[in-house]
Amino acid sequence: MSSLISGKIRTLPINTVRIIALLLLSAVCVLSASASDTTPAPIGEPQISLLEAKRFLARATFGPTQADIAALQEKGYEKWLDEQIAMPIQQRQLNRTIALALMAEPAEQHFAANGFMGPQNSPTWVYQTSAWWEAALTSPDQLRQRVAYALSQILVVSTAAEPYLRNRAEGVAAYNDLLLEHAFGNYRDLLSAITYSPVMGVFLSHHGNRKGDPKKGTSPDENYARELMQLFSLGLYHVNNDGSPQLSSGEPIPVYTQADVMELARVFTGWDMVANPNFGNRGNQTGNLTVPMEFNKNFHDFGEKTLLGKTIPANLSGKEDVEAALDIIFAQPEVAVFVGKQLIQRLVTSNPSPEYIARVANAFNDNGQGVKGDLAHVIRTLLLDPDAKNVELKAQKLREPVLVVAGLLRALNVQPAKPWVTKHNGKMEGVYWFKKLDIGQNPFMAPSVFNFYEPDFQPAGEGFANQDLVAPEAQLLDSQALIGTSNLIDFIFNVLDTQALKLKPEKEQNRLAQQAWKSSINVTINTAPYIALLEPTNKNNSNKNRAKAIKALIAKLEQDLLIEPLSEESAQVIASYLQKTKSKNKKIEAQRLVSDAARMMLMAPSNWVQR
Amino acid sequence: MKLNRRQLLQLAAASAISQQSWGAINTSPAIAGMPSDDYKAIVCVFLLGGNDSWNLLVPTADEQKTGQGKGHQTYNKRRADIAVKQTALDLPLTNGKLAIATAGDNPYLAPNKIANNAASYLKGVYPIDNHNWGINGCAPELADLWRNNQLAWTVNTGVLAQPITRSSLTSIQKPLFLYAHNHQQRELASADALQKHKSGWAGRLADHWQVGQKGGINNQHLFGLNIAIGGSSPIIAATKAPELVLPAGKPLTMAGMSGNNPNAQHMAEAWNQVLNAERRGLWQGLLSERNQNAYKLSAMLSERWNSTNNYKDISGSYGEPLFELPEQGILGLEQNIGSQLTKKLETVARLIEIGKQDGIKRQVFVVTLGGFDTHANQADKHPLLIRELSIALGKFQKAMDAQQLAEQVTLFTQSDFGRTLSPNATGTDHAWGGNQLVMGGAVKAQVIGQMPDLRETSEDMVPDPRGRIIPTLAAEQTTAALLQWFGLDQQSITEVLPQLSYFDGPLSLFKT
Repeated sequence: MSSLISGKIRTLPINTVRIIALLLLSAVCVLSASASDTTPAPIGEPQISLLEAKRFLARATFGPTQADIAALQEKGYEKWLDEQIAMPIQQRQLNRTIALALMAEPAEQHFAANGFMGPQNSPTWVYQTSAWWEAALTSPDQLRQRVAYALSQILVVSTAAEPYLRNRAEGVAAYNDLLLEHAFGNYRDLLSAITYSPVMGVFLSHHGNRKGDPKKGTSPDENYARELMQLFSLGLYHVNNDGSPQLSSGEPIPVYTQADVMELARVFTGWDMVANPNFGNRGNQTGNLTVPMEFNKNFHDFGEKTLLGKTIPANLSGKEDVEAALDIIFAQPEVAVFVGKQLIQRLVTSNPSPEYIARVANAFNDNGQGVKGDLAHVIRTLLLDPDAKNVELKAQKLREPVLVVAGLLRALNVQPAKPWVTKHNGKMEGVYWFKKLDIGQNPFMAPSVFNFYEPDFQPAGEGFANQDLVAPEAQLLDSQALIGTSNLIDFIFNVLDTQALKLKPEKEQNRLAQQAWKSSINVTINTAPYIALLEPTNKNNSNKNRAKAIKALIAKLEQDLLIEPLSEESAQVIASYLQKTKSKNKKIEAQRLVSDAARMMLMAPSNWVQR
Repeated sequence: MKLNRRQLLQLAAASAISQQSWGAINTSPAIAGMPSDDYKAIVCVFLLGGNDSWNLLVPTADEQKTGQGKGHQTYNKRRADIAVKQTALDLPLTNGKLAIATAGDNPYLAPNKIANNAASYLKGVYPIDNHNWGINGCAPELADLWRNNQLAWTVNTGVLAQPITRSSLTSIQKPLFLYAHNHQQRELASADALQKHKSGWAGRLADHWQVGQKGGINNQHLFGLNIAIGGSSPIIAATKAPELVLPAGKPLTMAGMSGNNPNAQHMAEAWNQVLNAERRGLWQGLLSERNQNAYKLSAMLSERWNSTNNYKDISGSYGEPLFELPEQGILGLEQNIGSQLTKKLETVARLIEIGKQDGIKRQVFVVTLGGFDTHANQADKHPLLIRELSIALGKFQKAMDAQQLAEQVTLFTQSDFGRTLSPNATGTDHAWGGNQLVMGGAVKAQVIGQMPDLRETSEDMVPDPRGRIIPTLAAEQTTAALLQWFGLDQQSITEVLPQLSYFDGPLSLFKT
């Protein structure tokens, strides 16, 4: 039904569209009687349709919930954004990571003189990953959490690419807190914050970097210097404000030279973790990964440096040296396009128009008060841009597995796992438990500093090339990511669902509970509202009555779990499958129908294309 | 008898009669360079991050013979704390076979007998090529392969747009974005230092052989021509031909949709119909196709995986079952090695077996091993990577020997770039030319290429104190030799490798 209407929407004048959308919304409300009331929007602002609300929230959050949709429709885009931007951090990752470590391993020693470090060989990455998912799934500051996630895919650190960080993942949690703190701050400050972060220091090896030693013939480590410019700020070549490359005899013009890399490498010398016994040491129980690195003058190159044609004078303090270099980099015009375009790609569309890029780059360059790098202004601009809001039915980008799974769990109003006791005799209560999911992607586990995918990845074949389109997320959506996500959804509906568990004998329930916390995910969902829709078939399972109940089930799943309407054909295929899927036990049958329908609808390609 | 889809698939796979006519492959080839001989495979092992290959194949020549800058004296001076010693190590042989029974037998074991990665890394080499070169002590299997005449080295090779030296660096076209990981990887993958092509060389080969089309090579087998293991690769990016990405190890099966029970088949059928219904437009179409291929391959491979050779009767250097890792501790290093590459190459061995059973003619595999971006703590990390590479390659060659496919399968390495000769405090940085290996029964043991002059001011050096060596062999020259061996004629080779004409042509890698 909804797909029929939205299929025609494109050709109608905009007011008509809004009226239809309103009608559609009220129709859905009557049908399901579960969508919250639609308080009228402020006078003068048109009502946001259900589809528009879902699409906007798919960009700005980890997935729409009924409450989010109602709030957005009530407040309108601008007010909703202003409130989200004004809202302080609601859930810090380091605090929660520590709390989970203490809960899981209560008898262990978690603190040394300089703060938390986790017991030897403690899987801190599991606590950090669980803390991340909990915030993504439940924290009310959704826009901030979502923007921080986008930033984590630009300013990449990874426990998968740097094994040392796995058991020191309190540092990664602290790093994520930096992203949360600066998500609506200034990008220039964020560059400082990540530069002094010991986690970035370890990941790109400027931690422990030393000035050159002419006797030994050694030079400073170039790693962070290069990637800071290539991946975190400038990109490789000069661009125009609309993102197009500047060319010289048909070729792109590099923004920086190898000489710049070598000069900048000298700037990032002399930095070490706090409380480290030896400069540059990486011990499992030494050094503090949760506070900024400290400067050690013995290893710093105090000479004059020349970076991007500017001079950094000799004998500055370590921090002055870094700040001067970051100022020079940040002053380059490339930063606005480089960062702005990637934020658009992470949140809205893989292929922003040149005009859209230019508008966002302008917002980056000046927030209206002459300030460059104001991320709140950039985020606001890119989410309110006409290109973001009026996209209608055009495909914008592929959704990535983490967002598909997060969206599903949020839509189902996910609850903490049933309490369990760890092997260290810790009682786990109120916990959303996540390890490494077999879905091809996990936050803070990119294979390298080049993230899960590159921003200009183009799927092979003629289709994307002929239209000159990129689809970064396609780089990771291989067979294992797709099958893995499908199987995870199956697991969620068949092991983590209270309704599914109830159907099993007690022994089996205990076994499944064991399986759940040992597995890569342990949370609770409850599909009762969906199973209830099949109750009419208990009394009367005639083909007609059954078809009616199944139709209602699909409609409700579509409304709650999907962003985009399901196509008529897909709905029919799924309905006809459900019609034929019978079991002697009606309760088992109902649970299976819900699980199978939800899985096919969630895995349907239309649910993986963000519009 | 009515067969369901899955049974049909099984039948097709098992009997090598795929959906299309089988006979086409035996008729005279309509496509230029279409091979008519027996099975062959190329395996590309891509060492992600930029392998410090000057410490894998170490210049050990005496400069009094080879000339100033072209031997161990200059190497030793420039590499400072990470210079591998010239000391010749003995391969531990029992009955002519590499056999290591205890940690103490490891020829690279640290001098004080206590595991120490750095000491093992720098201890010495297995001399080859008249002591002009030495293979790092942590790679005894590679030395053994050399001894068995199954390993060749290409020296100072890398991404080049045209032949170039120090004095022509500013006048002759250089590759775009030197020293940037992602761009050097792309240029190697596309065999195009100027990035005019988005397709990879293997992808273009597949297009050339019309893979996936009627009459194309491999008879529309599900495998196509190219398979990347463990993640997508730009090397196999094609314009028309299908690309396949498979995991290391047995692929996942779809929960509730796999196996013989009617419920599972019922659901699989419905899921397939959903994907057909959703096959609309570019973006959905891409995902529908990927989902459908994922399902088909997972069904086919879960069926056939266990019927492939498990190599239980063959053992690795330490007596361990062939595709398992040696037990912890016996390596004589501070940590155990990673299992990634061994697992990926085991997968390749199984896919080769299945491909050959099904009458496939040609296969190209791309596998990666990460971790080579050793900016810090190189002497702790690089020996583990070399050990992993050596062990995994030794195992893979043994598997091919056992399948009597030694002469039909050739493996070679590539890497983003070589690394700076001069270290930073504990590691090395991005550079340019490096050394690579080619392995297989058809390969002739030899060192191809010129030893560069490692002095700071030589014609082989970028003017820069770090020691970034300008390659003298283009990576395409190795690839071209492999394509020639694959049966591709000269004209077709230049279609697949458009930049090849700037260089001296294919290297002579193979026994004749």
